[in-house]
Amino acid sequence: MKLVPTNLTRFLPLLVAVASLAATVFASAPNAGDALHSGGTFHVALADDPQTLDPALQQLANDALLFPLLYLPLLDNTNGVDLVACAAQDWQVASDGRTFTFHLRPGLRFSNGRMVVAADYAYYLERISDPRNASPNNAMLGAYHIRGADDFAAHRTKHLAGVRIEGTRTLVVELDQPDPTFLFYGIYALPQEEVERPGDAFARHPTSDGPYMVDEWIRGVRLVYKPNPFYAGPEPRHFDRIEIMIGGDAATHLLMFERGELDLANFTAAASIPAADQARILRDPRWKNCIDRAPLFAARFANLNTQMPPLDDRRVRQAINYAVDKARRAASGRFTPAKGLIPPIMPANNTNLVGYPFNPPKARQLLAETGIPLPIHLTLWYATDQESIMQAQEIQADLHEVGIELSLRQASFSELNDAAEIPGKVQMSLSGWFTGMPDPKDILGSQFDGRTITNAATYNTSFYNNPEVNRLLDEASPTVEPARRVALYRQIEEIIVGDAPCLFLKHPNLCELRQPWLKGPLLEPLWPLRLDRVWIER
Amino acid sequence: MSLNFGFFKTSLRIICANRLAATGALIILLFVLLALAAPTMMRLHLLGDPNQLNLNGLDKDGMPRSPGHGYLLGSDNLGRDVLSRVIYGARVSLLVGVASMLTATLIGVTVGLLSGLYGGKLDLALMRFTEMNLTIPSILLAMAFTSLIGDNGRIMHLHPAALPWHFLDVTLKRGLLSVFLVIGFVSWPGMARIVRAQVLGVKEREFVLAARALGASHWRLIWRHLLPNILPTVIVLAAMTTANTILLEAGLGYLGIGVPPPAPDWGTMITEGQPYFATAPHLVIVPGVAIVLTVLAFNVLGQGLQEQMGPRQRP
Repeated sequence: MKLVPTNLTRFLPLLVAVASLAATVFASAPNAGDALHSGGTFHVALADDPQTLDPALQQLANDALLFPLLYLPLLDNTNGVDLVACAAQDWQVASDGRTFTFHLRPGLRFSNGRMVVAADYAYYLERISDPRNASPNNAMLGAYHIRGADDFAAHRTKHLAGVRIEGTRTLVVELDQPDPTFLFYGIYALPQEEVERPGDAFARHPTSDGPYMVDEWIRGVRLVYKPNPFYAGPEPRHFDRIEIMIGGDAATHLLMFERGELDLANFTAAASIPAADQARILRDPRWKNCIDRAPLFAARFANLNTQMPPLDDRRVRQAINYAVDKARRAASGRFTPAKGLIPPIMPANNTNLVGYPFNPPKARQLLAETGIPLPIHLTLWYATDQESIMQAQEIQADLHEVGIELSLRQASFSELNDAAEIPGKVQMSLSGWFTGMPDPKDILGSQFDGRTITNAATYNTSFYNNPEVNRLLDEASPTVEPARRVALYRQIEEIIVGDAPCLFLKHPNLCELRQPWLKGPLLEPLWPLRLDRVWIER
Repeated sequence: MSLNFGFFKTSLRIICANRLAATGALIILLFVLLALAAPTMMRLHLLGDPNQLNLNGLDKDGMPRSPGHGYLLGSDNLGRDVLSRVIYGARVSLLVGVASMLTATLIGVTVGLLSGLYGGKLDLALMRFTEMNLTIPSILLAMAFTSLIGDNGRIMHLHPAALPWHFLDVTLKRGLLSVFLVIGFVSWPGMARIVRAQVLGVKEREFVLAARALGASHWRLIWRHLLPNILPTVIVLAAMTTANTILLEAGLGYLGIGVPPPAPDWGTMITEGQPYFATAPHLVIVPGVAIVLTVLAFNVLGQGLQEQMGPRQRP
């Protein structure tokens, strides 16, 4: 029986249609080296629930890792130093270095369908600037001195005078003084009508304009993102679903990763393979090619409350710095011992800074000079991760040798941060800082500007206040000339290191382990893990 | 006719007469001797400092050393000598275990004696309270008590609020004292029930009835007749309770709410060694074996004593 028709002319339109469809399908089929792929569920795990999903009230670095999935900043960055357009289609900086104009990308919408307008970004800035919201970012934004911020904070004006809206798609921000780092400050769109609904629903289920939105959040169990149907950002979205398991420690997450249940071994701001498994993983042929390494714009230190005796005595704080061996375990490559605060990869890093080398006799000498009877009893708060546990015990053992008996108190990240912000409550707390810009202004200004102590949610949990440092911070912030700027921040760092309001510990390095099917540029010195830039390719 | 306190004199003979009891006693004796000798051994440099972060305690990758590389039982994640920490941990575990047992025994025997002797409404109330405590898992109850103390401590006012007798105030901070008090407070109910049952039997014996008839006070009955006759049972129970209290102490240490660091604690050692189980299993196995041996020793001691001193079944 004949199977092939003898006259194909009747079937020509059908053949053309099939050929076109085939061309479309195969042109977009996954293929190594092709354009970015999409689809699939991305699996990752967090040890604790995020404190909040509201970027205006965000405090923890780990929470900030979730924001690129939910929100579009006006400008984004790559390689730590290069700015790229994101929610803003383009931007201009006036010749005076004080006025910044952003033109929004058309078509941006929130996850409830409402158009994103310039007023939403203005609201974000005002939400942080209003002291009634007790935003932890108040000090950081305040350091840019937006025109009219003081009047707004004192409620003499209803809006920030330096923030202007021109139409629906143009935002103009005017500062009192030039600041080259302002463009690195992440500005997001917040829908005022959703934020100000009664209760804290926005912190748990925010209405956002990013590639994803919250689908489900069961505290202590999981947080699930689904695609934002109204997403119109510049970067493609890669996943159909993101499942964030909540609970378990780093060792558990690594076990799950090795079984293929997670796509990333460790989802924290200091992404590192657990210390217990690092040597094994590095030698394992399955994983040794799946490791991403990068230095980080970050520092780890222990805040010393300068307002609580005996830590109000500088000699005690200096003695603590001399007593602790920061180079212990440095051979593992997980960190660089710190002499100060500015990370080694930051241009302003001062290689001539001496810091506090390990010198227990010097520590004992300083303590003897204070006349305080030994042993001195102090309490150190620390978080529940393995690295913090080990660090706390190392500090305890080192301080014991010089006559300081350290009690250890373990708490979750959020509990620790909340407690440390209360004056007179916490003597010492293990802490750290991940900078939001490739400039020391962030790490030095946010943590050590004494004028921010009055903020109910201050980052200055050493409660350190040196008028000379405050003055130099004000001088350095608007300085545009690079050499002068670097010199000023190095001077500030030297003063801070001399006053020792914290125990300077280390600068962590990233060492992330990912599944071989997870592709894309994952690590970023400023926002350590960019989940919005990776995709699954099986 | 009442029995006398001569039971203590025959304790050693009883233990030696039973292999189980003797084995348990020997293991306990070994741990006790090691625990007592630990500070001397450290002074004589036969044992390292349990809290010393040794420079050579970690290998080139920053990992703990396995047994044999300069450390008999290896080193831990901070370079500390595991052998030294296990032996010093025995001091903590045995001290807390025995002190908790004594606390539990004191409370349990008191409650059981009063309940069994007086009966009536007192017996009803005490037994219902005892059963209420029994329904709650001891580890959860211990965690709840520990959280009441908190990390900054708590002041217990052992006087009426209206009276300024602050010399009776006791400050409880997390430490050995609070841990053994907490464990003692959750371990007494089992003993109370058994003691009560024993007292109910003994108080109907002829010599007790005779003493009553002669006008003996309750205090004399307790001290001269009841206690000596329930003592064998109490001793067996005490041995087994010690096993439980040691296990509970290790459990609290594992959960991070036991004896605070840097005091070496077997449970805490297991928690800290857990992330290293794949690469340095000795960090978990060594303290785990120590716990197993100690608990087993007290259990077999109690079981042996029970076999030796229990009623003989005649055909």
